[in-house]
Amino acid sequence: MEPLVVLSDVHGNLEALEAVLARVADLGPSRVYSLGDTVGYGPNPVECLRLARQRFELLLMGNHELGAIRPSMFTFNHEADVALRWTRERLREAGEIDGLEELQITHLEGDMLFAHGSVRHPVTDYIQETNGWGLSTFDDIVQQLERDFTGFRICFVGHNHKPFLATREGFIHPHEGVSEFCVTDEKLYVCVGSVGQPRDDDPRACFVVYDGEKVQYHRVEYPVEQTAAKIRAQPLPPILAERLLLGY
Amino acid sequence: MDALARFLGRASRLPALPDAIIRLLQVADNTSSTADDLARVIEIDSVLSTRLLRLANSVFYGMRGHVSTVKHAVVILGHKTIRSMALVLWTHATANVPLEQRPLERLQREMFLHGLATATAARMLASLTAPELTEDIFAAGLLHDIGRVALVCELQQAYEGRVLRQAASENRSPAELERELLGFDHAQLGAALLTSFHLPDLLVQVTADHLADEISLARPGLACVVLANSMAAEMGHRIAGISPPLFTEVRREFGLEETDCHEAFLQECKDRIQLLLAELAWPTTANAP
Repeated sequence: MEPLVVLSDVHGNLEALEAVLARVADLGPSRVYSLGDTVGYGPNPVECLRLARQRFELLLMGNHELGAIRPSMFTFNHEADVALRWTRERLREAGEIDGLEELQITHLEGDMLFAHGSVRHPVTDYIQETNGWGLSTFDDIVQQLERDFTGFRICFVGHNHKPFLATREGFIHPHEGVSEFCVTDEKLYVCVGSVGQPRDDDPRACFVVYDGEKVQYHRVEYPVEQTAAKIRAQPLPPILAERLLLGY
Repeated sequence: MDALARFLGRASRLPALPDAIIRLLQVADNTSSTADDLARVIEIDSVLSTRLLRLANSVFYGMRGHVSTVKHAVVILGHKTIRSMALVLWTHATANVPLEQRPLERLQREMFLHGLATATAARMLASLTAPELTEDIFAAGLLHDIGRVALVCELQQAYEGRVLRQAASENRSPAELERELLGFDHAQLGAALLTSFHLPDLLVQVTADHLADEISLARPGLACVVLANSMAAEMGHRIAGISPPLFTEVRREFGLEETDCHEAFLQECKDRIQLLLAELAWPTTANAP
């Protein structure tokens, strides 16, 4: 198949998105799918949404888009809530809020399913390695792969902001030495990481390229100080700037 | 072999010793730990080693059947994947398992020390005959009894009573009793497990054949591990008091026929094991907590 770029969680970070699109242009794939949360947290929600509509072949609904159009549906943490109220106003001013209603929740294509969260709840559920008690969720993931993966084999998700594969063999993390994985014949979740707010202790923007056989993780540096300065210049929680610098 | 196939599905999830996992988590949590630090903690324990070799040989890394040493596996998997696997093992070994369903820890510790002693002796023997295979043969020594680990985890007291104690009281081989009881022995089960994990042929073949009555240097990996298995028992690291054959002829081929050489070899091997355990602050006896 023609190589496909899958990314997620741009979160209004225009500098990161532009750096990723520049890298994608260098790499060559023309198709870019986004798994949602294009807005929220970051200082450029309108610009990111418009660029996404222009460049992405698929743009899914994330919990931040759903929160923007259905404010009463969710309870966000304090920082996310403050940012989402601010984001909603920017989108409303720009006439972009109504368009969010049309975003798809999931997309099925061949043996691939694309969602923001997980198979069990496509918008809000998280694929995580540990539960609230710090124990591994491996058995639950294996159960999902064996019972819930019907009609598709590979599910691309974002939402957790972390790049890893959740497989029946274990959780597999890319690193500097190994960032490409063979994924033929196996059922698995591909967690694509985050473009605009990575949370794996690496501040670089993250995305994957899938060619039907291999998933390749890519990391891209971008002027993160510039984004952080923009956040500080707006009535957004300063912690949102700090976490970008450290990638948590 | 149907019985083996049925058992195989249940035995693929081997629980590691909790303290082995805790040590691995401690090292993995330290961001300044190196790949060597991680490998040192992992490669003394057969279950941790098997689990990580299985992952490194999985389809995802495109290296099926090619990763035979823990050091290589650590480099491929990386820090985060190893930490994550340690947490999976921790959850399986402790949090999700009621106390009465946990494997016999005393026997697990005996098997841990037997595996480490066999691996250490095999590495020393390999340096005399097949230096290019030293680390592969160490891994083969560590994993040779993985089928027994699986049997103990699955059968628990029944294995100790109906196989190990009966073998000792009737002076019979445990493998013979395993075949009577189950229709297969721990060598066959271990080889089937390692095959299902896509581990390299050397590890599978040594595990499959380690109960051989006759060995020769034509198969250096097997010869080193089988002789090391015998030496581990001489060093006191035997399972339930059972000693394998001595293989006197083969010892001669390794130049260990003289009593002095033989004693010096065993002493050096013991020293190396003690050093490894001391470095990692491990208890040095099977019954230690």
